Amino acid sequence: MRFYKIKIILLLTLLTIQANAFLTDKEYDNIQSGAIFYKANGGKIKKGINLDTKVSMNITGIINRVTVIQKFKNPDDYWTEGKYLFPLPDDASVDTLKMKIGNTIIEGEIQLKKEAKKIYEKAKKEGKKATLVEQHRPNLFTASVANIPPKGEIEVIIEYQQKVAFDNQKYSVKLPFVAAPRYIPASVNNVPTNKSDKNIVQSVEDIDNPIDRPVDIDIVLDPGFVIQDIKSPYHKIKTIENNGKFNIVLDSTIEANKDFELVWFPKEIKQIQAKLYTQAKDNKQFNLLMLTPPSKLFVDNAKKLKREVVFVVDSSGSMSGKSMTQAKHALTLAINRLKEYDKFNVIDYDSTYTTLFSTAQEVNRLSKSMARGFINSMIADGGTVPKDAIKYALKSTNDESKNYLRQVIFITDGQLSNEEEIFRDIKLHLADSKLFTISIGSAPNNFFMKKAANYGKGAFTHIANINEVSQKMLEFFQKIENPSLSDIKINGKDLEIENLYYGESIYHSFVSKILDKKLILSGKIGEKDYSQTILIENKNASSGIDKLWAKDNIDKLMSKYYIAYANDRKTIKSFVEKIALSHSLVSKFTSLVAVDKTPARTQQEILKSQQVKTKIPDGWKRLSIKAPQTATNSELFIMLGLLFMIFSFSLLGLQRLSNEK
Amino acid sequence: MKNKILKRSIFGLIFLLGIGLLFKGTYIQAKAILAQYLIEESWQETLETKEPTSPWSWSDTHPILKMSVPSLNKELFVLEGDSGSTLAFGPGHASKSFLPKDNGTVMISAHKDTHFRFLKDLKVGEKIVIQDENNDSYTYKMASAKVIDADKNNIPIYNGIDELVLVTCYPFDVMRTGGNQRYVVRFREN
Repeated sequence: MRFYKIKIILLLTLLTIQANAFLTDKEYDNIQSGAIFYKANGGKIKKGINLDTKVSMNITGIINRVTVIQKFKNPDDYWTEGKYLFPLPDDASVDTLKMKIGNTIIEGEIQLKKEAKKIYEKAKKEGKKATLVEQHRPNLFTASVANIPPKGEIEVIIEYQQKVAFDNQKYSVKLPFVAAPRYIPASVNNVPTNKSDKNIVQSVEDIDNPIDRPVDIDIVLDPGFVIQDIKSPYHKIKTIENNGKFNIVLDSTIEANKDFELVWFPKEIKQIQAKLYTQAKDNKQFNLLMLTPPSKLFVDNAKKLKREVVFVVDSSGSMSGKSMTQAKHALTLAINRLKEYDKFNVIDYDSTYTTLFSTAQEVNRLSKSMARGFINSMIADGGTVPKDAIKYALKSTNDESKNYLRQVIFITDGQLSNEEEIFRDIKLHLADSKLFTISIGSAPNNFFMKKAANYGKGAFTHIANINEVSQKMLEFFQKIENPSLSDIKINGKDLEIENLYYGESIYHSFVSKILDKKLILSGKIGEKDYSQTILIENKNASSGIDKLWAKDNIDKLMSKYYIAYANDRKTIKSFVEKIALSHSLVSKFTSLVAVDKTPARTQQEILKSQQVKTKIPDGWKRLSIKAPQTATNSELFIMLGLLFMIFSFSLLGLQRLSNEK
Repeated sequence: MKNKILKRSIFGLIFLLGIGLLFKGTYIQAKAILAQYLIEESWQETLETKEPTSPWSWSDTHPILKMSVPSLNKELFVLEGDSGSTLAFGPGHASKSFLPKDNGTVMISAHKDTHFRFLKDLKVGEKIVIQDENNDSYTYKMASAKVIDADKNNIPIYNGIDELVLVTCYPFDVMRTGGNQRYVVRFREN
């Protein structure tokens, strides 16, 4: 009797485990590369090998259309289900899914997330081959593939498009692979000499064969203007020019262990460039406006804007070491760069916050030296609670603040909690201020930082390499010192974007019934008025401007979604669903699903496959981790302390002795 | 007379410096011990709620595992993350390594002069029990120990292998920090 009970309990546990989600959120967060996962007996997830990746990019002007083909092989002797995770650029809009089995191609269709999941699960149970593409985080997608035959292959084809970025005088597209760090061979080069350490067994780590994950990239670039140079900072490429178009391929197949980036440089841009791309579709005009600042700062004759700058700096424990030193250095430089007509303040936070001044003060010798003292005394320790510091920075205005361009600059490396409260605070207290965010290090919450800058109508930058903190921060400070163009309007109407900064282009997408024949861009350079005619370029119906518009709109709605209350969320969700469905885009609420109509597997085999234990070779190295610093000075301190005390006593004793004599 | 006062004040100063250093050293040790009591409470809460619970309100970490060494009658609460500020309060789980339930390398580090002082006394075959927030226990047996140069070698993290890796500084009986040697002990799941 007892035996049966145990069996039933076991069975129940197994069932619940099977019914659980594949991976938890946290596990998703830890995933660093595109990889296929198998579910093994007992619910444990095993990682397999990503076999073959082919990427083709088609860049025309400012639109990059990308096709990613990944071929997966089932290493097992059983039918299996695989889940495949892949990072994509933040602004990628996934609109096409195709599944290729043998010579048949099955097109995926867009569905509400729940519906898509149902369709997929049903097909899975019926033994049909099926693929489901879902968005997990804005830049992380999953593809589930059901019923991969024993030793069989399935090809998953995903297409997306994105805008080309323009930053620091160069255009660029990125393709994240963010694969696990390369294997570093470990060898025993420190054989212990201490004989009392008997436990130490000399063992050499097995050296894995490197994981075979070739990636092929093929790019056609049609920049639409004369360019100076094409480069790939991390990979060797071959470029063939043909009539102003370029064909770029990798010099050799690469391992997916470094993000791929392609950059190209325009000739010097003498003045602000304003270009509008327009596409007619369904009786509507979909428009994308691109503003590019001039290569050099032309502000000498125009009077510069007066600024009130508030620095909010993280000095929590995680900043300790190089991050803090570099941040301090950059901060000091930034304050030295301020002009005598500017104002500034510094707020330093860990668990609580301290401020240099209660409100921003004028830049003079006294305030500068006070700031230096304040910055030098910052110590990186304690927790990370930025909420109150940001709120104070936004609220601490005085009567004169409205005469200044008020910029709050938030610097952190930390993971932040209560994001939504911070978003709400920013919205509530922003008023005329602009919020800029700088994140430092390899693991900051960039999603939050970008969003915060969006709400704050400012800009965001991420500095991954600790050694570049001081230099990159300074570049960023320079960039925001002088908006190339502020108070931006088109035909007299306000835009959501307010400032065009030196070194970074901006996009603005909008839809209209009919487009005005003539569009005038106006704004201010420094204190001077400025206006120019916008160049209009008509694009054909398949150019994808509508999809870029849809993606932008979904992003805008989603940023509202994250700070909205439950009721509003429903409304926002229905808007997002509507846009995503009509433009066939994968979003938080919609997924692409493809199902092969013919069952591939018989019912009997299904039963068998549910007991499958996968046999992927164990011991695939996921990554290697640097050992942390693991000793304190406590014993040294105690020892020295005792020594000093004994020393002082004995000196005293000696003196007494000599006195008695 | 004046000379005497001067001398005395010098002795006094050295004495005070001694007290100061003694205090600083004991403070680090006390922090390491006392924090574990606070963490134990939040661990109990974690077990009940299954939610990460911070031991004190300004903390940027939380207990994630309980580690016990039956032979030494020792219990430690392992925190998430292994930054310097975390290791002051308890052993830290490398966020990028696996958890016991995930079928992969679990890596935990701590200071050799506080929480992981006991590592030098462990022998091959000795057991360590890890408990997670679901109250599941995993028993590991010590398989090997070796010393690595942390500047040249990283700790490899494998999937598909149920193993536990404990890391601390080496050598044990030298009073200095910042050394590049690490004592790496590997355990296999029973």
